Amino acid sequence: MSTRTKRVKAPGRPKVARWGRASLALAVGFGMAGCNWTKFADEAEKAPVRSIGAPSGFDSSDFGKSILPLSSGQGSAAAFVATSINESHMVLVKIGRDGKVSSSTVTSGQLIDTDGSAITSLAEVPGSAPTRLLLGTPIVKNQSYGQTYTFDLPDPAVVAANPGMSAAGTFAATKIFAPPLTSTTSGMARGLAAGNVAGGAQADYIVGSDDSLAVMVDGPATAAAPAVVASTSVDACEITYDNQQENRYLTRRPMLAAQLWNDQQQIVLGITRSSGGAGKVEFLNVTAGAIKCLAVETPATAKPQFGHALVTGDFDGNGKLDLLVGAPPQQAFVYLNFADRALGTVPAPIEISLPGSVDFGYAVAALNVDGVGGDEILISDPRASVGGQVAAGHVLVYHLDPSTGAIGLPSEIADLAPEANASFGYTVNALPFCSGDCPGTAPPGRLLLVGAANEVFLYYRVGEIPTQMGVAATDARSP
Amino acid sequence: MLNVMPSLMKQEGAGRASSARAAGRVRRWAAVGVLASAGLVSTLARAQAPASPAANQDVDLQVAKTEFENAQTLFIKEQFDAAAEHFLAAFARKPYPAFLFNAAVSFEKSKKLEKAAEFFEKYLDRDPNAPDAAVVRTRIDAIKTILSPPPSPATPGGVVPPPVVPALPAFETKGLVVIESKPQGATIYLDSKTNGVFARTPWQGSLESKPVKLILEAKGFKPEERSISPRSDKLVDVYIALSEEHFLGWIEVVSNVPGAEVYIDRKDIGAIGKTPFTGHVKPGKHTIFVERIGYKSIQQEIDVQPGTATQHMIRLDKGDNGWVNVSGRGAYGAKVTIDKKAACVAPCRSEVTPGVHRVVVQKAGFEDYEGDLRVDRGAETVVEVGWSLKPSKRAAWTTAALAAGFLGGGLYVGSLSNKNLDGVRSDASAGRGVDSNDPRFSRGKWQAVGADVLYGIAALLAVSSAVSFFSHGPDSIGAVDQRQIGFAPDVSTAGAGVSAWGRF
Repeated sequence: MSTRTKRVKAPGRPKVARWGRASLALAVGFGMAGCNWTKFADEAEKAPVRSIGAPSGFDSSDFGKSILPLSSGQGSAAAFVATSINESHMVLVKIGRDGKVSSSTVTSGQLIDTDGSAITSLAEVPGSAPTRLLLGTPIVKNQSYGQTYTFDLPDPAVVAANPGMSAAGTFAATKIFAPPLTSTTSGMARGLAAGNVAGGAQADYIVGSDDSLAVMVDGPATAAAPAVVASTSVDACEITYDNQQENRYLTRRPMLAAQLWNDQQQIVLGITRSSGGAGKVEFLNVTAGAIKCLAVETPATAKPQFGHALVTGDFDGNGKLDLLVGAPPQQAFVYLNFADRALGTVPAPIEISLPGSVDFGYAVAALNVDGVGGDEILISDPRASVGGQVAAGHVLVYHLDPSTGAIGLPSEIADLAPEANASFGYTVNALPFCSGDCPGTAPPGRLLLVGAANEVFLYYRVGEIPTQMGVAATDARSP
Repeated sequence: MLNVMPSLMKQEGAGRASSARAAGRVRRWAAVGVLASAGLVSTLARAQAPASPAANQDVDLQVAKTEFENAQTLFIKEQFDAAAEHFLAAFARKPYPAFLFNAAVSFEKSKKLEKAAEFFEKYLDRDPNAPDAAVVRTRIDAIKTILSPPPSPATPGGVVPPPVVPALPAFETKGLVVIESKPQGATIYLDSKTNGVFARTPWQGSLESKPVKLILEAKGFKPEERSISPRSDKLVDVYIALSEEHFLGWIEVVSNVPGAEVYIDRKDIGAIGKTPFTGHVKPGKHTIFVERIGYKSIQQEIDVQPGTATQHMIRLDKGDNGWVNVSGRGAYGAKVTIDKKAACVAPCRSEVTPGVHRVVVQKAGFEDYEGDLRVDRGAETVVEVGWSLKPSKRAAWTTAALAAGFLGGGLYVGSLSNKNLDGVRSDASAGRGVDSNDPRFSRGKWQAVGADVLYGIAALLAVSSAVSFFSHGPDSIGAVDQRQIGFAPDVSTAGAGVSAWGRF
């Protein structure tokens, strides 16, 4: 009996289909169980506080230490300029109506005249269109003198019409001189301000050096139209600035132009000292082509850094400018109702002191936080310990009761995750928001802008900052 | 062609009619009758009861046995001439051809080749159909070649080539088994009745040197069994007296197809024999089943009367179906499914309709065999499965455990991520100044990413595990024989019948 054998292999079973089904089921299961990490980005976008990191070019600790809020949003809802206090870097930061942040770096070519020097003083020329800035480099690199520049931002309409154009424009910073001051004046532009203090048709540029104060009437001075200059002192007002102070106090010379009394604008000058008595706050104006000293204010309890920070606001809500003076390390003073007094008469100060603090009064701001009455008093201590973190920094918000003039207990604004040496509150500013650049229905307002080392915090919901008034929060951003 | 040892059948009977032996039988019968009536024994074996009266009945056989054993002793002592003399003396008493064969072997050992050839020839004369006839003839030729004179050299001084002598395999003497019974003519089966009829008594001849069970049956007598151990140097003398059986019935089942399996009453206990089948059956109604591959099974009711003999002729018709036979090494215990229906447990055969059938053979620990097998009418498709081991699932379990671990890690890290998100939302809704750079955003984000990575790894591992669970090794394969079975009439000198043949 013979045998025929054939090998028969079993037909393939649908393995792939089975694996495929199993894989699909697993993938669906795990996909449903998976975490959506993009929601954190969404939540971060919706966060009530926007943290703006340092653009490229800034070193690790100086973004946020030199901030100039702009009165115009430069085509957006708000804008500010930040410079490095260590290197020659400058950036224009714009905030959209929706809260989106964009930044435009001023190129090194635009800053070529600064010779790589740090721009530590900033001022906006009011009424300029397009916006003109004053830049100061009080220490030109490897030199003992400083320099002043004008820098014109581009017309937002032009930028909008040229999508590829930087919002920072293409204009270069231009050196300006204040004859008869020479180009080698020590500490030139350590302090900068702009305003109509001379009563002319245009805004005046106010440039402070270490030992002089120059007012360029109606714009850049020329040999034919020299600046009005006061050196060393004028009347009772001391002009010379103590440049032996600690670096953190030496960064810029405090000054501003404001109409405190019912007259043309005045110059408010802070005279701080490294030692040897209390600092001063001096009030000057330009009269008959000369700088005149209106008043010198030194509270009885003032310390050498009295006058380190100056800001005007309406703290009592009466529609008249008040003055807030920071006097680190533990004081601040509020002066109300200059307008009710004769020119040169300084109202009695209201002292706010915080014993035990490290640098209370280093920066000050006026901002209506709670939406009720006048502005709140914002005083920062960038070296305060917060949450056990040394020099994490915070900003304290005080509310002044206009009826009694009493100042309540402060509320604290700080980083929710404080870090040591973060210097939260190195700068404190009220940033105009929707001041003409938003749709007509959007009410103009001001947002809190707090600078820290290498970071800037923008508070969209100012009303959420706790005060004794407890007003409901609103978000400045449009949906 | 099937043939049932006709040569052995023809060895019976020589000298069977001697008067002395007949007288002995009379005496032996008397003794058996006494013993049988006492109910003590039913058989007597002279070889195992030499002192019994029956043991001395066949004196010639006893003398022949003595001579045979003496001859074997001398053969072992290599006294071959003397051994040959005793073998011939035994032959003188009992003319069994094996004695002649043994004498020839002894002469060959003693170098008396002429005598050796002579007695080999006598052996063949006595038993020309002996199983070893061809070998013996070759032996004779070889001896004659040796004995033939060498050819003269072609030239004086030439070299005479030595004769070509076939290589002679070593021959040994044969043992002898003598089976006798009362009554004569009883059917002899070896080991099992399913092996078919071996011979009928009286029978003498040689068997392999291994224990074997003898089964003797005779119509009207109770069947008897006896175990013996044949040896090449012994003469085993078996005598079995069958006791009469009157209360059983005797049936004979024959079919037109020889070799069909015969079952009675129950098929699950196996076949009781093959056709032609004869045997005792308890009186009463019985069912006999007759089956043969390629034919329709037959089931028939029979009524057995005590003390009667009936013959049942079964006609097997060629079947309409075919068979699937699962066999092969390792097939034991495998579950056979045909067309998704459980068929049998291997090794087994299952009847199916002609056509292509889906056959699945499953065995624990091995990959399944699946095949679409064609089964023809009246044919058997034999599948011998070559099993392929299923791969170990240890790796799958390990991977699954890892997947679970990563999943757990992902859930934990994911919960941390959600905790960060919840914290941020809670702070924001409570008016706390949550900034966009709050570390919880980045921490939560990376935790979410980490969780998803862990989920991903877990998913990959889970998929891998699932694949491992579902995967299997190479498929078990089957060697398939397709046997077409047919039958044809067969006529030979041994008789007529039907022969089975296979066409492949």
